[in-house]
Amino acid sequence: MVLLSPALLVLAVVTLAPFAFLLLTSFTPLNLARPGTWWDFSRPLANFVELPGDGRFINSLGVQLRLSVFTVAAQLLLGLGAALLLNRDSRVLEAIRALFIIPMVLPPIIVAIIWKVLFTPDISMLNWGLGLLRLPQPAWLADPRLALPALVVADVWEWFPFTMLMLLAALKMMPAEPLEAARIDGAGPWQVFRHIVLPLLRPTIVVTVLFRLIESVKAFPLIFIMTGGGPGTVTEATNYYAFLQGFTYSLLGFSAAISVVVLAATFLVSYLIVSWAGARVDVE
Amino acid sequence: MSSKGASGIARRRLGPVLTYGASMLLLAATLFPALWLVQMSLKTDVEAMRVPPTVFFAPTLDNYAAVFQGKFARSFVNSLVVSVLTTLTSMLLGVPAAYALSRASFGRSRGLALWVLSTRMAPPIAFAIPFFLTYRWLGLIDTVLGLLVIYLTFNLSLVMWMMRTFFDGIPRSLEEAAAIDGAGPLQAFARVTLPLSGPGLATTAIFCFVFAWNDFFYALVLTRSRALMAPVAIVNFMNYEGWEWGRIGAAATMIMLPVVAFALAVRRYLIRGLTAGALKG
Amino acid sequence: MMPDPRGLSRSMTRRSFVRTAVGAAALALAVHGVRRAAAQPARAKPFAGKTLNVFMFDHPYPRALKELLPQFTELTGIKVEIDTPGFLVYNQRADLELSTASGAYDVMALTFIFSGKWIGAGWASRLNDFLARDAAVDPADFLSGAMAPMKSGGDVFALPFVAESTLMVYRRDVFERAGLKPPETFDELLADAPKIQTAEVKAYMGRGLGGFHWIWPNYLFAYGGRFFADPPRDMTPMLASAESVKSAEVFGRLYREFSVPGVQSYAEPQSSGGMMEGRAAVYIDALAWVGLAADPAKSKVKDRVGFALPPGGPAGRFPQAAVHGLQIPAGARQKDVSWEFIKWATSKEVMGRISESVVYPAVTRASVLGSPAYRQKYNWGGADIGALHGAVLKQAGAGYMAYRTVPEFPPIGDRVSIALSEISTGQKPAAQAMRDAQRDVEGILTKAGRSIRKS
Repeated sequence: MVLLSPALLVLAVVTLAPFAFLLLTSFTPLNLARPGTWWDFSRPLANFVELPGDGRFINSLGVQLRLSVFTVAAQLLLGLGAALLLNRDSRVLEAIRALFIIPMVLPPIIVAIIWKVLFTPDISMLNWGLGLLRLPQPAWLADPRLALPALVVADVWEWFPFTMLMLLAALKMMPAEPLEAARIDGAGPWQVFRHIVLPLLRPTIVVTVLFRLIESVKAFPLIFIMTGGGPGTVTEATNYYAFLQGFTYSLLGFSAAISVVVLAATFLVSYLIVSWAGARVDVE
Repeated sequence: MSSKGASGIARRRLGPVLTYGASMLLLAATLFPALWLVQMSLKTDVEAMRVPPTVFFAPTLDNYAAVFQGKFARSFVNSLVVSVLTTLTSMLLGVPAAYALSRASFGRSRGLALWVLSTRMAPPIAFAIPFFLTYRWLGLIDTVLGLLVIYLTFNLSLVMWMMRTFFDGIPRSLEEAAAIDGAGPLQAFARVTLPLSGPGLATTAIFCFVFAWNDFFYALVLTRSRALMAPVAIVNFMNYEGWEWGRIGAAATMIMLPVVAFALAVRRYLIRGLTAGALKG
Repeated sequence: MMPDPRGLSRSMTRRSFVRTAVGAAALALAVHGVRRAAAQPARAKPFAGKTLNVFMFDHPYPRALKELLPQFTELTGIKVEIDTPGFLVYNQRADLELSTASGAYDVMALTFIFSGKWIGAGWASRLNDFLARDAAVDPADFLSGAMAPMKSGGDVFALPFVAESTLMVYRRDVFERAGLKPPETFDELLADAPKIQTAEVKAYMGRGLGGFHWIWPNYLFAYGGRFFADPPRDMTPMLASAESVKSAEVFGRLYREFSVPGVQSYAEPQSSGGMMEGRAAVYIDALAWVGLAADPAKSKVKDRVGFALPPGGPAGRFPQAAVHGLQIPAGARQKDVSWEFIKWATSKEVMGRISESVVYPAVTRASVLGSPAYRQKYNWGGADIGALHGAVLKQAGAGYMAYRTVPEFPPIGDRVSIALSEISTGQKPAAQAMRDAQRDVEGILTKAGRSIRKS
């Protein structure tokens, strides 16, 4: 307990207070441009009652769901594949692995700018390449069907190194005896993977998925720079909508209510994942 | 001398050539946009946006000179300082806590761990206003300390969760064996568990650093000019009249370099795994 | 009496040239200032030793101001720090600082996007008393279209330093080749578009994102539509009227059929950059960005472009104007000192000097606009930019820009942008998109406490 207390204390101080503020604010119609609305608790649930009827909010939930599912799934698959590929002792691969960190290390704002240019026809290397291969060269960010996939591509590019490194570290820390034993018993590579490696990797996979899921809900710079929520509202994810409400329209009370709902939903989903998939494993 | 991990078996089938080839391809695809940024930093604005990019050109260091002269240099140092300090604090506080969580009894730790995770869920926009108001009152706006504290909000939970998973992967039997040999719990931790979690520690430290290094929104809201951070400073190159591609490229390249250098420096720890001997041992 | 630091060169100045020119100008000004100070009896410097914190967005104007600061300090004894983050960052930070009355800054820029909201919320100080005291400021010298957004009721809340007028830049060679004159109305533009368009050069350069609700009103009013019935008194939205819908249809068709692909997601640098690369024949936007098409250093088509007023329509021509000014935040602690700075920064001398030394045609004072130096320098593509700019601002002062400065505009502009985005990418037909927008805007206004007639 001694080991835990300092960390828990810091966390409590630094997160409980702002969360309390957030919760309280969600019960008010706080509009920073109208001073009378501070601490007006006369209709505490007004914001929450308004949410289900807000078409834009409902739309944002759908966008968020699609965004989160696709980015996390893609990051997981790509990360797992890359980790398995690079899991070999070699000086060359050692250096290569370290270089994979680059997309993560770029500030998200820069990633957004790079991909905005890459998805803009006329100045895009990507479209130029597609043109060479005689493939269609769409205007990605202006096409309602391609804007969200474009965001997914940028996000996956930026973050699959995270999943890759996590899974790689787990692979490297994996005990060798079960694998040796299985090989001696004559198991083929796929069987070893499915019955030994994957279960041993499961806790790491769960943690990685959890983290990427939580991060995907906070998506902001990509949407801000690449699409502004458009075309129309096809890329207006819930966090971005909350940002608009709070920082552009100054309706902080409403924005806080959106954030509270999103936090509750994220917590619920995380709880379900942890309960069902289990984040712990007994190695013995 | 057996190859490490399950994919070692698959490797023998595919052959090393395929592995290297595929790795290189993946690396190229991954690095291509970043390389494009770097080559942009060596060109003038007009040339930088040409498609396809000119491969042979006379590089210019003007962009780097301009970037160094402006506010960016200061913000770069700020980012470095804050990120290093955040990593140290988060690891110092978080690693022992993660160990405790890992070795604690099952039921109790689950709820606690979930709460720890939930501290990471709040999007910066939700916390920005309360933090701004509190910091104003405390005089922490535009200070390194202020940023340190707020970065703990998302890095502590990261460290605790990631390291707990890695610690889970180290069997208790090893610590028990050390105890039998006369080591106390702290010694067992320090002499047995910690060295074995090298890859986990290195990976977690890198992530801590990266998340602090890349933060934009908190830095935007809570700093003015003294504690200005690099990601916010880089937006200054997106001018009213146009985006200064050369300088954006130069600044971005400079932002990339320290972390890549750090990762290359600890790359051995990224891969050193268990040797059969240590486990048996 | 002041040496002309640019010699005989008339070419437009850019970065390194700017440095030399402004440096020389600053030196000359300083010398002049010192001479004047020495010639007069010791002036009372009541604020000597004070420091001012100024917050503006990065722009040629504050950049030039920074170079001239030594002269201000010499004159008044006040030290000034100007912080200039990028425009994107500026707006977020300024909104936060103002809404929490932080008092951290003594002078702040009042940007076009938020001016209505900030004034309406009482976050900017009234300047009437200061103006009454200092007749030398000569507020009547400010162009009417530049002053209008800085006022509310009869009160003045800021002094304008840049007024972006909407102009049209067009490719003379493309129109000549097709045997056409540049369009006077949007209907003409639409009719001409298929005739002038080729695979390499599209007819129209649009802008997306924030550009929708900034460029479209040029169309809206031209066709007789409007945002609100009579802002700020009667705020009933009129977005779904037949005229409004028609203007949206024309707008949408230009984007869908006759534009550079992808413009619906373009930010300003992409649109102006594309124009400089020669990808489109017509570009209608703020002076700062259309002007870049004539940039001698960067534009590939600099000798082939012409400038004109934006097209009109059946109801007339209503070019839009975006004005940024300097305000004293309500929470500022030394307002008298702040006023000294604002007075100086928007004075005739300083504005004139800056428009001569850097590329800054979007001046806000009639005296500077009419000066021979300005007229000589800002002659692009054979067009007298000053005359165009002045014409737009004079018209804009007539009152049709009033819709922009209502406090509720940010969410409304945003919602309208979404509708236009849907129309320009073919997601919804114009009538339906505008109807949906009308409904949502009614909701926004009702929630904000305005009484309107519902449709």
